[in-house]
Amino acid sequence: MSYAVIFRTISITALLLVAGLPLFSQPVAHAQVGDGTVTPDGPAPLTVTTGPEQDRELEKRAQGLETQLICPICPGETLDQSFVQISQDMKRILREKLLEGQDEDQIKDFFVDRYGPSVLAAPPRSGFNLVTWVVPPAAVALGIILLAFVMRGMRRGDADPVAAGVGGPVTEGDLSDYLAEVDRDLSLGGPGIATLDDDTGDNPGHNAERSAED
Amino acid sequence: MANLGTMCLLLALALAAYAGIGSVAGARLGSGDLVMSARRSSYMAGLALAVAVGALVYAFVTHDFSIEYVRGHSDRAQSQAFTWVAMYAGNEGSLLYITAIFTAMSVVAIYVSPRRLEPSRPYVIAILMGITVFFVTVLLTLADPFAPAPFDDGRGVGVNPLLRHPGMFIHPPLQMAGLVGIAIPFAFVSGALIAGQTRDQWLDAARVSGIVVWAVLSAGLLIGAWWAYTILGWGGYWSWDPIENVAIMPWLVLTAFIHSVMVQKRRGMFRMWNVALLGMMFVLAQFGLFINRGGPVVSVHSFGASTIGSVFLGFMLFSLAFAFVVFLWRYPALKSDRPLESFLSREAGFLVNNFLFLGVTFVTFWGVLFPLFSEFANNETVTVSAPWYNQINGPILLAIVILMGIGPLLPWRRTTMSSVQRWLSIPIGVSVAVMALIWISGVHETWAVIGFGSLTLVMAAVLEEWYRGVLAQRRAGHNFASGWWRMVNGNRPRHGGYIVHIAIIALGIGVIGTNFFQQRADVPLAPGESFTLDEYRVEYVGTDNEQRVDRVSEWANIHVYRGDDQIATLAPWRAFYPVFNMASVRAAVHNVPLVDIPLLPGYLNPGLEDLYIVPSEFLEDGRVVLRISINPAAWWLWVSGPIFIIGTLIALWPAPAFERRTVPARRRIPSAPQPAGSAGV
Repeated sequence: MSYAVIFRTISITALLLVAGLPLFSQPVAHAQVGDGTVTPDGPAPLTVTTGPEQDRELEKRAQGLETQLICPICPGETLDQSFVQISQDMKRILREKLLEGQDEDQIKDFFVDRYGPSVLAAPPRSGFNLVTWVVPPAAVALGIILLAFVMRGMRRGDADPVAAGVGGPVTEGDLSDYLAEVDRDLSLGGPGIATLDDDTGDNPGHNAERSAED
Repeated sequence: MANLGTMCLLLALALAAYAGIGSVAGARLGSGDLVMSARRSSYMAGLALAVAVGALVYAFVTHDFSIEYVRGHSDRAQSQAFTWVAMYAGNEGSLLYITAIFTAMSVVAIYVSPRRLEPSRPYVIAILMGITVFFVTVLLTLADPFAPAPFDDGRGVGVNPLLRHPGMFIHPPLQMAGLVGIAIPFAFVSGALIAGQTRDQWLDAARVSGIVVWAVLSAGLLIGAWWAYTILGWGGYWSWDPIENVAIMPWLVLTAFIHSVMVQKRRGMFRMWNVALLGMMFVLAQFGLFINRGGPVVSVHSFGASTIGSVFLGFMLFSLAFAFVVFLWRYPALKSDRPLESFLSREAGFLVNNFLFLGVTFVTFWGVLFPLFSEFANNETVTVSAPWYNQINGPILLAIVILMGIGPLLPWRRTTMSSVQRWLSIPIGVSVAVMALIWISGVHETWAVIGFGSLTLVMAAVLEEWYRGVLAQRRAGHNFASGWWRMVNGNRPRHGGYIVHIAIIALGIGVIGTNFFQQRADVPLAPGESFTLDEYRVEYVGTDNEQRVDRVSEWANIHVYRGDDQIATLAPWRAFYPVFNMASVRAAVHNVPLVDIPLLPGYLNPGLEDLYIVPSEFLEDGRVVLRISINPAAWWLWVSGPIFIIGTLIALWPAPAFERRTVPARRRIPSAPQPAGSAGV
């Protein structure tokens, strides 16, 4: 019995390890950002860290925007990934505009006017670009319908039972029923041999439970 | 050395061409001797290419700048270790590497291919050597790594700064080997179909080579992610960059294949489908080669040599046509042995799994192609990047994780709803409880909570299975440890697969942690100043620098405090390379453990979060701009690697118990070697 106890203990520990991790991770919104060592007009883009709660909220929005805009001169890097001068400048501009009270869309429009639509990390959901967004869900929906039809077809028996076992070496699947019979006839025991059959060794549960079910 | 290299390439071309033509001719004429000579000729082609690689490496190590490729990709200043691997730093040399490693893997595959594939082996050799011939021809005509330099000033240009990282020794070779290696399972199945071996003769060869290639590719991707994490300086590891996408697509299809091939192995179903998957992944790998070598996309990985792009595009289209023709030709012979008995069965589960993996593949493919499509159809340049992929692929990936929890609990053939409920009640209960617990504890990121819940479901399902399996073993008188081991040994593909699933759970924890809970700040600090992010106070002490021939390196010395305790001294650096007008950074990563376990090395201790610091800029006034971020659960991304390797090894290990199961089949063909055994993993 003690082994079962150990096993349970390990299982529970592993589970807690897997599940409990986020408990230790504080979400961003709760973070204490900054202790005031900031000069807002320095030569580099600055994390907005001074001031009350709404400034932290603002910084969070600014960081969100950084991931949605592409650095115009680097291959496919978003602003938060890039440290070249132009993206440092853009980071500062978007913070200034947020401080002026502009919203995300206005700021994105501003950059699109300057650098063209490719400055957006994802195409806008309007006009021609709507196609980008619509095609994948449509394809998945179509795929589900197709899958349902295929499965129904397979279920009806779009199979070729005559070919089974004559075209070459048989598959394990072909043998499973036969093997089960052999096992019964020989009444072999022990793991590895008793689990020869598809319906026992490779399925959830142990032998007794399964055969009772069938 | 250049002459030796070129001679070897010519020799390899002749040998591979002879191997390809000779083996087919031998098969057609019924001449076993001809086939055997062709087969040995393919071994010699592998040897010739190995010598060519050796010649290029020797040229690098001895700084032979009379070769243009060596001059362009190395210099005397870089550390000697990197000259050994600089050969795959650029387009020509990496093509030579691809050719050589592909041929070497092909030779091993041909050598260990099972006797039962004897009739199809000539065609397998022909397909593999045909690919070698293509590569060598490209090398000799369009991308000659041994071409002489127009001038030799005795000093090279040096290698791209981003490549000077330990990852350089592992990521490119694994990644490229995995991508070209996909041709091997494809060659096995195509060869078998051409020769008329349309039943399951090719199954074990394709499955084992598929899993080996899958493992190589997975390891390459993971190490690439780690490389990006430490060198690109933004604390990320995957950015849905076009080249990452074309590398992940064949991997996704291969993952679908190694699942659905089990249905064919166990139930004689999905034959047609598996053949289609192998063709698909082969064509996608060619597509990746095309995009990588001068395709019309922008990427951090591009080689930027666009003249040979069209050649690879042509080869991809040829591959597509070839795969299609073979498939359509043998289509009638690929029917399933039996119908699908129930929607509630593992067969159906695998089908849904395949559907989801192909869904992610399609979305990724569409994302890579849309910018081109938009430019063509709408005359507007757009970017499709991480936010788009995360939104579209995220839900499908979540569905895959949930299925990963449910699928293993479904038995083969059929089951009843009540039985499914009984099996699923515990995992679902645990998962819901965990989600509630996380929510109550104050984490209100809905998708993250659902994600953690789904991962819990997978873990609980695996543990439930193992618990019951071990209980059964204990009834037979074994203790916990040996019972578990016996259970795993009883069906290694299955339990190895579960261990890989556990690796995916670890990866999932890391992905969710870093994506949803990262905190970051970009701050300029003068010496002596400090900045507090969350509970860490980061103090900038000062800078050290070092001037070398090829670069100026600067270290930011940093003390990290938590409360009043100093927990770390870090020195991230940034180096500027004037020749490339390019800076390279190396992040300092301090892993904060979940619990402090004395004497346990940090990389073994379950990590809570990484404190990640990069100096993004050293300013004129003596200040340094630091990117400071806290990346929760990043440790879990990397720990998934070893777990996944252990799982793959177990799944591939030639298992006595598994062999016993195929006794009657083996008795029929007494000398049939088990490919798993001879491949030796």
